[in-house]
Amino acid sequence: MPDAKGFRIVVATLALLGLAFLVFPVIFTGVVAFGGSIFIEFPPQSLSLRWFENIGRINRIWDATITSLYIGLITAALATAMGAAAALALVRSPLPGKAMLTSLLLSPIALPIVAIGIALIQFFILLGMAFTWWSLVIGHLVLVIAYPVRTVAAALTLSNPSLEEAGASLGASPWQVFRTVTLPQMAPGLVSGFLFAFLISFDNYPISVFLVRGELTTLPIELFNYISQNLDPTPAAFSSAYVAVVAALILLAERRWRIISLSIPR
Amino acid sequence: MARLELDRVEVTLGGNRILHGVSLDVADGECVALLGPSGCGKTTTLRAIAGFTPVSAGEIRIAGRSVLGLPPHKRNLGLVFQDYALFPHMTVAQNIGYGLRMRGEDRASIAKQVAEALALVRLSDMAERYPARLSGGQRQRVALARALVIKPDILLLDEPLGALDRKLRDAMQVELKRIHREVGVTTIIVTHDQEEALSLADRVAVMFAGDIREVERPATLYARPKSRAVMDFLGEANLIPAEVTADGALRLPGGAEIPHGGAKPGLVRLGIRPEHMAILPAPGPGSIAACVTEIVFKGAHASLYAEGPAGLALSASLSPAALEAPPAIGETVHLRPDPAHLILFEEDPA
Amino acid sequence: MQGASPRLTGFLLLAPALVFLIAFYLVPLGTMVEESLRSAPNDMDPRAGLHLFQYDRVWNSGRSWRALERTVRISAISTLLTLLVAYPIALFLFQVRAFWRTAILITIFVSLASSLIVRNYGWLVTLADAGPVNQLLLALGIADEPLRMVYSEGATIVALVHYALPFMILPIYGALTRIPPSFVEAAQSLGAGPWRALFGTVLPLSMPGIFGGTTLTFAICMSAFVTPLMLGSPATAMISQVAAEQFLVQLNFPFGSAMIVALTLVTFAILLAYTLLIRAVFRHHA
Repeated sequence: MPDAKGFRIVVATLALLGLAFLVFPVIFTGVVAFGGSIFIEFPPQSLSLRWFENIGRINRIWDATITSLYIGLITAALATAMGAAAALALVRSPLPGKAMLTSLLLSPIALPIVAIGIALIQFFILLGMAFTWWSLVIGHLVLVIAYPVRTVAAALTLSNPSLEEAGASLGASPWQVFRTVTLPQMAPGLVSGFLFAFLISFDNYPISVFLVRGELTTLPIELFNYISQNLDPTPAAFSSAYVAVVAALILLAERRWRIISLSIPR
Repeated sequence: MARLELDRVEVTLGGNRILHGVSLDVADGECVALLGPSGCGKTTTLRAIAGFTPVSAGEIRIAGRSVLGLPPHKRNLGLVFQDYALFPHMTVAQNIGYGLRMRGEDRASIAKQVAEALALVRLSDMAERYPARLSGGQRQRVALARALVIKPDILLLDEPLGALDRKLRDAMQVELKRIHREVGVTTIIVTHDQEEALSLADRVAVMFAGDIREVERPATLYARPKSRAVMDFLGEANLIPAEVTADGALRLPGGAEIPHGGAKPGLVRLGIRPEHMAILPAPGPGSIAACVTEIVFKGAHASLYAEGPAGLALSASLSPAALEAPPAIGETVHLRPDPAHLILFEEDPA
Repeated sequence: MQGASPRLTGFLLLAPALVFLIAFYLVPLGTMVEESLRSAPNDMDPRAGLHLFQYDRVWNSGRSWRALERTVRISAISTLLTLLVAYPIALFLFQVRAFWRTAILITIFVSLASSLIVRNYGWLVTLADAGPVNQLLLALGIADEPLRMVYSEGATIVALVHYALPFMILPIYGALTRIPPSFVEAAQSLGAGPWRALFGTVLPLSMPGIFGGTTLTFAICMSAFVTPLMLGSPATAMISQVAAEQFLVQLNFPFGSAMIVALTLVTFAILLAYTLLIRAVFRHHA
């Protein structure tokens, strides 16, 4: 890249401003979370942990979190299994119409997200299975299945296909080749696909809002409701904890499986 | 270790015939190189032997038994890939032990054989490294050890030295010869590098356009090729148009004649290596006058390039002694082919 | 996969995802389009016939038309701003040492993976009346009293840019890594200064990344729902919100469906026009 000193300084300044824009809301939220005032105030006049304790007072927060965890894990597991199988077929098998099949599998992320919720609620009412736990899993699955398809396909494209031939030439049966060579090559894609599928399901509001009623509720729904009805910094405490957990998960996945390089489009 | 027979093997991929009936008989313990330009079908031949490319006609036998019905993992072949294809998620020892694990051997026996294989390729202290942390030459030797440790019937090497730099390539050539001598396994080497083929193989099979043209010992192939194409492909060659006269002499361009018996009258091509072209200061019997266009120093010798009658391109080797006082560019020299090393080819119709 | 028929294996691997998406994605979408072509709410009589009545309403009812117009405007502005913020970051990523590159990429990933509601809440805090931005403006003397910044179109745009940033940075960075260094060196050896090399060589060669990033960002903004809900007001509603109201409040399913189908068609039409324009301008590159 062009590298004269003045040029580098300008690029670095603009980039650091942009990165500040990216991280400052999170930092401010963290600071506000430790404030003592009942309203959002910056910088806080007094320090306190009361808003972290208050997280438990968010309406049905435990129920909603457990439901979201279950739905997220099951959705991510199903999406990863189905998406990985599909990616394997798309990358390694001689199939007709691959381009069309790929766009179909990836299209749910490109469509207006509300459309999935709206289409499904009408469909589930017709089927008589609206507002059930499984209807939520299905709704989330439609949205997130594209992520493992993408990450696993990226992992397979990056790996060397002659590795599988090497396995076969050394006496491994097709199943043994899959288990000992292909699967380890897919691992970073599986991990990052699962992680993103889970996080997106765990965080989903625009689909869930159409599919929940009465007893059935999820974490984003309750968090959203709390934010729209209260002005105290409890959500700030919750947000800080949330970002900390997400950061830990990403760091772990990157250290162990190098997931980041997979998500840079090639 | 076994004999390998290819009998009129044909391969058709996507409607294109890649191999047009390749036949080759490799004796037990022999090392044969498949040599040819890229796209000649040498890699396809290798993949057909390994079972990765379906054969549409013909027969492949190992130790007398047909292997066409066997999937790759049941053929018991050792394959060294051009890019080595080492498993990046396994250590050197795990890579080498892979084939033994697939054969269900017990731990102790695997450990012992892996250690022997590592010793054979002189990498005993690298056992716990991952491939990413090895040099090109080390990777090559791990790939070789991994292919040899399963005691394959045939060892198949795809451009084994292609990814290495010059110096390493020379060292690995010696290494490969030593290993082949110690192990004695029947070996097929696919390469586009003639020096590699000539130095490593017991016999060299030259391939053009999906066909084996000639299979010969390296020295014979170089000195007495049977076809003009092989002569032209291997090393440097002069291909001089000439005419066999009614009284049995060869008339060279420029009119000089060399006595020659046994050829039918008509147009021919004379093949002669540059090292068998004498450079004379004055016209002699059977010499061709040519104008020096370039002199290129090549280390052990130098090459003289010259233009003969009707734009005919000629070349000759200059000995170190002759290089002390080389002819000047533009000077006319007289090049005389040594009749003892002349090869006559029929003039191609085209 | 060295089986009897690799094609059959491939089909079997693809089947679960394919069957699932047909049953719970294509069929429901088809049902939704059909619903949007019905004239009156809850009219399930198959003999009623299909009309463009609901689409007529989308175009002619003031609220839905204004929301659609506002959605396109907000998306266009947000996409442009996202590109301007993202490009220097992508360039910077390309210039820094591996350690910092990984650190910045991890930051971007954490942002990407953090809850959208959490991130939007971060902007509610940042732009709050007593929040840090207002404190800064007061301290610098730019404002005499705290400005009301939240619940506005501007706040929505800021939060959308924040949301879309990773989706813009990653494709551009990817495109930059694919430019052969020799191209830039060639430009510099021919006497181009760093700025000339940037605008004359690097920028055009990173066009695939810019195109990918802007397309994705625009699509994301067009379908924004949570962000305008949290940072905007009813007066700055985007089309997804207005459509959702028809389902959650008015219970007029056909009208809501028509709005979403219209949104999809408008998004698709704009992106198609954009693609054709980019192709026409850069046709000699590919």
